[in-house]
Amino acid sequence: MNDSLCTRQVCFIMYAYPVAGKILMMPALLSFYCKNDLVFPAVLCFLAQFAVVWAVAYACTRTQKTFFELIGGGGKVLKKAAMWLFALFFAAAALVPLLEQKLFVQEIFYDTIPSLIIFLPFFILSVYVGSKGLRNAGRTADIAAPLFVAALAALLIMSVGESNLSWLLPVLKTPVGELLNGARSALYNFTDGAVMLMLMGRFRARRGDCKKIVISYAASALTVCAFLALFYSIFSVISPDQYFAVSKMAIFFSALSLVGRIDLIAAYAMEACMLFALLLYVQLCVTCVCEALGKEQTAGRNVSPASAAASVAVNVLLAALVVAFNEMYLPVQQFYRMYMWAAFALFSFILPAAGAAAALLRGMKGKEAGREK
Amino acid sequence: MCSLEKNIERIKGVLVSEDVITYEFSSAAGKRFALIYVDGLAEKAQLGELVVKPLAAVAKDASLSDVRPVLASPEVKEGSDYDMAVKEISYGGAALLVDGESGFFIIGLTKPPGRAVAEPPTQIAVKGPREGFTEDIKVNCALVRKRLKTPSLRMETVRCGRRSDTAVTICYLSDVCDPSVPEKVKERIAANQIDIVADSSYIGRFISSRPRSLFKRCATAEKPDIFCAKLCEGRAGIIVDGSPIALTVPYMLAEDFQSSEDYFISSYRATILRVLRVIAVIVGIFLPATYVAAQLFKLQLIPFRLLINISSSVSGIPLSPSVEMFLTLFVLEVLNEASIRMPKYVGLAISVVGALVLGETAVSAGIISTPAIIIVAFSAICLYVVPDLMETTATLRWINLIIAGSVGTFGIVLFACFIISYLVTEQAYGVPLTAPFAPMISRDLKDGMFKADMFNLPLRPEALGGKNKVRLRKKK
Repeated sequence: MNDSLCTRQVCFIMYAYPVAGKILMMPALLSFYCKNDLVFPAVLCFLAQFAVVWAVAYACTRTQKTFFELIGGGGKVLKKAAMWLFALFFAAAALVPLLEQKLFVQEIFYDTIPSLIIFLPFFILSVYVGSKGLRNAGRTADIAAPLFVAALAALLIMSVGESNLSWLLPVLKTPVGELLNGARSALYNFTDGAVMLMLMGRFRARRGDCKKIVISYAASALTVCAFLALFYSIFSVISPDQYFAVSKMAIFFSALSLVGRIDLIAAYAMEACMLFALLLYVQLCVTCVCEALGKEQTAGRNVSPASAAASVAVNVLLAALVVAFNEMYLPVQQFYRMYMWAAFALFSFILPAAGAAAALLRGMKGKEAGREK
Repeated sequence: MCSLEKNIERIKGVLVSEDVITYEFSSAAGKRFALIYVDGLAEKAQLGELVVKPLAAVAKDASLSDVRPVLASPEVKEGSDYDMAVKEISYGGAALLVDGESGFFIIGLTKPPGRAVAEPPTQIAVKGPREGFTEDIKVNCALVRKRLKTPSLRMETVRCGRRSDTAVTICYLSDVCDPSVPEKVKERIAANQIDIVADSSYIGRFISSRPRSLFKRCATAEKPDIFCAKLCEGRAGIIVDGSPIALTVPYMLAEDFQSSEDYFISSYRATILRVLRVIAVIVGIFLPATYVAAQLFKLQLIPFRLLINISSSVSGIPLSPSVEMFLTLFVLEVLNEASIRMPKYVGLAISVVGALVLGETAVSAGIISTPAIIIVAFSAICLYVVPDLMETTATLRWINLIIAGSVGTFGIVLFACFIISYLVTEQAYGVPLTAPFAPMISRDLKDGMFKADMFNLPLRPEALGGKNKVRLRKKK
C-alpha cells in the first residue's frame, strides 16, 4: 500500500482531468462524424468507461494492492512486461494530446502562429513534474480541479447566451454505424480506466469511497456531454471546423467588446488544468518505468536519480515525437483513430476490467481463506 | 588559598578589554572583594545598592557561604568554573570574587542598552495590541509570558554563534505543540555554527529544510500577540537575542495572507480582505508580465478602447515593451532601495525626485510610456499588501517579466504551473506549505481564504497536527 493520494484527490482527478482532456478536439471530431448527434457516441464511450471505472473503484475498496502487485502472482516476467507496456501506453496516450496542446497554445496564446520552439519549454515543466511522482499529481489536482471548475463555469455562462439548442434536433437521425464510427474514433480520448487502474492501491479507499469516485466520474461525463451539446448548439453545421472550441465559444458574449477577451483568462486557467491532465500521463509513465526498473521515485523528500533519469528519458522521447510530427497532427490523429483504438480498448477497458476482476477474486479468496481458518 | 589578584587575573587574562571593569572594595572587617563586569551591560547602580553596600557593611571576616545571605540581588549563582564566569560576564552579569576563596558569585543584574517596547513598523493593526518585540530577548520573553500565563509554556534557550554566542529561545506550549518540532529546531540550530547571529533571519535559514529556496520555511512575527496566537495554534516560536523579529514554525504560505486584525474584526470583512490580498499578490506578480506579453504576443487580451489609448501612449517610445517594462521596474527597485537606505530627510527628497520629476520627465521625454509607469507602480503597491512575502513575490515578478518577454503568455501559464507543482509538495516540519489548499483540509479552510467566525473555529488547525485539538469551549 502506497498512500500517495487520498480519495478526494482521486475524485478531483477523475472529475477534472477527463473533462480537460476531452474538450479540445473531441467536439469537432464527433460533430464531423455524428453532426447534431455528437453527444451519443460520447455517451457510448462514457458508459463503457464508467463501468470500468466503477469496477476498478470498487476493487480499490477491496484490496490495498496496486495493479502490478496484483498481477505479481503471475510471475515476475508478466509483471515487468505489464509495467513496460503500461509505460508505453501512457507515453502513446500523451502524444496526441501533446500535439493538440501545441496547436491550442499556438492559437490562443499568440496573435500570429509562432514556431514550435515556443511550446518546447513545456517539456522543462514536464521533466520536473514527471519526476515528482503521484503525490504531486494528487496535490496539484487539489488546486487545479477547483480552478478548472470555476473557469469552465465562467466560460459556459458566457457562452450559453449564444446557444440555440434546437440545432441538436432531430435527435438520433445519424445512422448507428456512424455513431459507432464516431465512438471508435473518439476512443483515443478515453484513458480514464487506465488512469484509475494505476491509482489503485495508491490511496486508502474506505467504504463509500467507491461511490464518491463513481459520482465524480459521472459528473465528469455529464459535464463533457453538456459541453458537447452547448458546442453544437453554438456552432451548428460549422462545428467540425471549430477546433479548440474553448477559446471560441464565448467570443460572442456581449460584454467582451467592452472589457476585452476576459474569456481568454478562463481559457488560460483551463489550459493550466489541461497541462496538469497531460502531465498526469507523463507522471504515470515515469511511475511505471521506475517500478519496472525496481527503483523508488523519491529518496526521502527528494526526487531519486532514477526517477529524474526516467522523466528525462520519457520527455526526450515525447519531445522528439512532437518535433517529428510537428506539422502532422491530422495524420497522427488519423492513425490513432484508425489503428490505435484497439490499444486504447485493451489498456483502458479490457485490462482495467480484468484487473478489477482479479482484485475482487483475490479478495473473495482471502475472505474464504479467512472463514476456513 | 586563592588570592583575589590571582582570581581577577584568571578572568582578566581571558577578557582582555578596556570595557571589562574590575571594582575592588573591602568590607568593614577588611575582607577584600572584587566585582568584574562589562561596562554598559551590567546595572551599576543596582550593583552598588544590592551587592557592594551590604558587603561593605559586613563587620566580620566572611567566607563564601557567609557572603551569599548578605547579597540582596534576586539572581545570584555560585560557581567555581572560571570559563563559566567569563561567559556570564560577557552576557552582562557581574562576577563577585572573594579574597581567599576559589569560588565566586555571578550576579544577574544585566541591563543591556536597548530601546523601549514600541509599535513595530510592520504588522500594524488599526484595532488591536500595539506592543512589538524589541532587540532584548528577556523583554521579548517577558512579553510572551505576559500573554501566556499557562504553566505549559516552555522556554528553552540554546546558544548559537561561535563568537556572538547569541541566546536563542524556543517557545512552545507543551500540551499543544507537536514535541518533535522544538526538538528538530534545536537539532538544526546546533548543527549550524557561524561566527555571529546578527538577526533571526540567520536562524530562519538554519532551521529551514531548504535554506536556498526562494520560498521561506518559517513565518515571522514582530508582535507578541501574533506570536502567542501562533503558539496557541500549536506552533513553536523562536526568539533570537538582538532581533525584534521572532520566528514561528511550522509555516504555511496562507499565514502571510492573514493579518492579526482579521481576528479582531467582523469575519465578513476579514474574508473580503483576505481575498483582496490574494488577488493583489497575483496581480502584483503577473500584471507587468501580462502587459508585456499582451503587447508583444496577444493584443486581444487588452480591451479595444484601452488598446487605442495604450497605442497612442506607446507610439514614439523607442524601446520594446519588455525593455520598457524592465527599465521601469529597475528604476522602481532602485528608488525603493535608495529610499530605504538613505537618511530620512534625503529619502523624502529622493521620493519626490524619483516619483515626480524622474517619472514625469521620462514620460514627456518619450523614453517610457504612462501605462508602463502605472502598471509598475500598481504592481509595487499590490505586492506591499503582503509585505512578509515581498522578497519572494518581487523576485517572481522579475522572473515572470523575463519569461513574458521571451516566451509570451504561454510562458506565464507554464511558470504558474511550475510554481504550483513546486509548492504543493514542499513542506516545513512535516506540514505542507500549501495547506490547507493542497492537500485540501476542509476543517482548516475555515481559516484559509475564507475567515469563519471565532465560534466556528473551535478546533486548532489540523494541518499542524498538535496534541490538543480544542481551542474554544463554550459553557452551556
